Amino acid sequence: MIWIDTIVQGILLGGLYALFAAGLSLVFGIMRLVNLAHGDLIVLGAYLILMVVSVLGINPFLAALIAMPLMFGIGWVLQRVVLNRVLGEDILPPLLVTFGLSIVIQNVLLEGFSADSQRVRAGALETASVDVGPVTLGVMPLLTFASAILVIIALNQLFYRTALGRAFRATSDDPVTASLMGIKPASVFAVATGIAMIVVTIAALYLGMRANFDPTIGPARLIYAFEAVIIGGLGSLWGTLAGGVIIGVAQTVGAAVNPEWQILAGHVAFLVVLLIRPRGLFPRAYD
Amino acid sequence: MIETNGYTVQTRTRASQLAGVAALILLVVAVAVPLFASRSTVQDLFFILTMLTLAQFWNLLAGYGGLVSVGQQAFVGLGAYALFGASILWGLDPVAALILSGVAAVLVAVPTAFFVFRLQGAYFAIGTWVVAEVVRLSVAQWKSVGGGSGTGLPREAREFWGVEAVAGLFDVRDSAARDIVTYWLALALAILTIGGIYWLLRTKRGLALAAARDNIEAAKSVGIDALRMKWLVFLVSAFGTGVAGGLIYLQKARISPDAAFSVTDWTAYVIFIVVIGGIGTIEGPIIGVLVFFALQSLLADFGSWYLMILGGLGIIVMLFAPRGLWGLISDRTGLQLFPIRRRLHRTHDKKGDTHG
Amino acid sequence: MSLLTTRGLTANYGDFQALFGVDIELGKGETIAIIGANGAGKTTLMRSISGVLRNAPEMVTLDDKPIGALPADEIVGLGIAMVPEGRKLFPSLSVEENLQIGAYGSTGKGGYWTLDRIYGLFPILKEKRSLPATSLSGGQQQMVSIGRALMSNPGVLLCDEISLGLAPVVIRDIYAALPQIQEAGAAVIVVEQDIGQAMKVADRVYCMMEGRITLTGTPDALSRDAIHDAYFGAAA
Repeated sequence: MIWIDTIVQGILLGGLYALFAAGLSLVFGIMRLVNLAHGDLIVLGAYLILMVVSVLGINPFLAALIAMPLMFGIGWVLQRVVLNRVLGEDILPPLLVTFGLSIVIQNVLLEGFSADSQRVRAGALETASVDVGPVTLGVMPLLTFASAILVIIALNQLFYRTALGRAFRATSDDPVTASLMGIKPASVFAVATGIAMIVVTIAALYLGMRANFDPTIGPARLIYAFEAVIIGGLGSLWGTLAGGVIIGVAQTVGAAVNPEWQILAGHVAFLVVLLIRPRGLFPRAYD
Repeated sequence: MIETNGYTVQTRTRASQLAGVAALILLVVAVAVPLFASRSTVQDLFFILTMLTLAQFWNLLAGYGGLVSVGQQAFVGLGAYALFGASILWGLDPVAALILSGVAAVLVAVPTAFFVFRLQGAYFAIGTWVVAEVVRLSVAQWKSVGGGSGTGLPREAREFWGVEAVAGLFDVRDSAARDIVTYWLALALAILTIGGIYWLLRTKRGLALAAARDNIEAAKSVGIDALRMKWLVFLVSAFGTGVAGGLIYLQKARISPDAAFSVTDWTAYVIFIVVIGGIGTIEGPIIGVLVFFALQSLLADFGSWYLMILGGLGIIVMLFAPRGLWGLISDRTGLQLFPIRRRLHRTHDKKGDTHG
Repeated sequence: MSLLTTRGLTANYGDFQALFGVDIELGKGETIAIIGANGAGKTTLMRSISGVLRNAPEMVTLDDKPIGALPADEIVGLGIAMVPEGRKLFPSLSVEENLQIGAYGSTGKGGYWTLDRIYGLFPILKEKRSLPATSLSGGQQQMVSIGRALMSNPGVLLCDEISLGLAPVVIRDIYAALPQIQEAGAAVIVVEQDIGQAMKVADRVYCMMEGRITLTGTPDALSRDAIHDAYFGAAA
């Protein structure tokens, strides 16, 4: 029954990747912005949570709650001051600016916190597990997956049930006509990035509790996030979850065959899906 | 020049003619550098020339071809490993193996292109990055060239073509001679690269390339095969990048997958060079690599501050001077050292012409 | 007393000048028509008034207040709504959501037009309220676009070529809604290539050619020849 265990672990891992990806999916879907600093922003969030925990001595979940408005602010300012200026037809400027940002964030963190590995301590939660039928599941991965689902449900509610969500979709379709409706695209984008940063904070919480982190692990998370978003298809958050799960399962299955093949297996799965469906599994009808 | 009906098409500018003469003089000096310069200068110049080569090919791909790739490090690594593999496994002279570096890169570029050309924009960029990661992880499984931890160039291979001759001629140790030979090879590669790209852009193909990049539908409507152009540019860039990769690691004489396929060293810095210098121009990467080298020399001791400044500079340039430093210069002065723009000249007046 | 005026309005697209000093006046409750061939500058005029194109502040005034330099999102808040050329519905939104978003910039303002009243004006839309807006026929999409603009309860409604690409019977149905719109209090600017339709609904007509006003007057005062000359140019 080792395969069932492997696959279930992969699905839960997919939850983590979906959390990494959800913020990216939001921003990519609304503004077609490729934010190469996304992974580093998650790491930044993890350090922020770490600081709050050490300064205030509270548990990580509360610390994350405190970090969220801070991260929202960082995202909002980033979009308003820097990223709004490079949005447009050309894909190169946002790519390069966010690449520069990625390098800056990594090195600021290196200067501030050194290259030492850190961890957000969660006490008993780190090793707790629960038996579900034939498999034993870690509580942390379960929480992570559950959080991913909750985040996606919440984002979908925002997107499809609120005036702000309508504004997101309309601005994404046609910013000029959206302005004719009284929408300020620049503000909408800033709010979107701010919300994405809140999701990033949640992802950072689980990243920090799950394993050691240091300033340089951002880009690797970025790749998994992007793979999940692209497999899922532009504009579909459930698709992003599916993408995360596919990568997660591919990785755990690959690792079960040969531990050195874990990451490679994930990438290969990504390429295979793209080969069959260049626009992802559940893309919007138009683009 | 092309002549039709009293008009000629000219690309030469006054500045470019002067620059051409200056370049020739510079070339002679460059070849003679090992005679009078220190070993570390030769190494620095090697670094500048190889980064310049990589930058010119990335610029061809992205600036002229419109293909923004974040995966060229795959070809650097492939070229390097092809060289090491050929010398270790087949005992081939590394200088001869440089051709194999290019060939190996092209062999992988073909299936890569089949795959990534199905993707657009950001998807294309991420796709190339993932392909590079797959190549890196796969090569790390290749035990005979050191697997994940890498290996060094074997002793016999280090005495490659030219080393003995140069060691004797200049009366230097073998390691210094290696640096000199690789330097000359890098010089030749850089000149061939710039010359080749300049020639390409001046032909009909180059015009087609610029047209396809600017507006693909309009280009197709005048019969340009955009897909063929993309293939050409992708494969040429892969070949050149592969050869450069082989040469870079021949000089280092030591290789590992993480180093040879490093996205920072072979893509981030290259993109930085092209963007700061000026994308879509041949002059741009030249300026860019000089700025990059200057920054690196000045700030190398400052570790993460150096990278922070690099990143910050990239952001600022992209926000305020998207056409780079050369873009600023040529906007102000209209200067073109490698002129590609075709201008129409009247060669003689025709009677009865009322329109100019 | 006029509600909306333009004075010496000029507009450029890069090096290309599209408007050369256009003066028009719209009174409260009035309906004026702007006619002219393709490229005459009618849509540029609409874009300047609606804020998509920014001009010098005094070039466009609303209730004597200069608004020429304001961006589109602020102009709709002042009560000028546009039905854009080509309808420009949001593909990601349903019919009902497209209507709802029309009220985005003016929530809490109140006024005659509500979702139910729009459905009353164009009953077919109520049937199709949950469908993606761009899946409707051309005429129905035009209705959604008009409804969307009305949702902000504008004092001035700009209709840019609402008959474009539609069959005559459909155009008739759409213009049949105009009286109700006028009755609810909006002043309307109708941009049309269809001269007959324009003359039927307008209190006054402006004719444009190559970025200038070439003729203006009430429909009955303008002869066919005068319009022909003003539309195409005397040399044509």
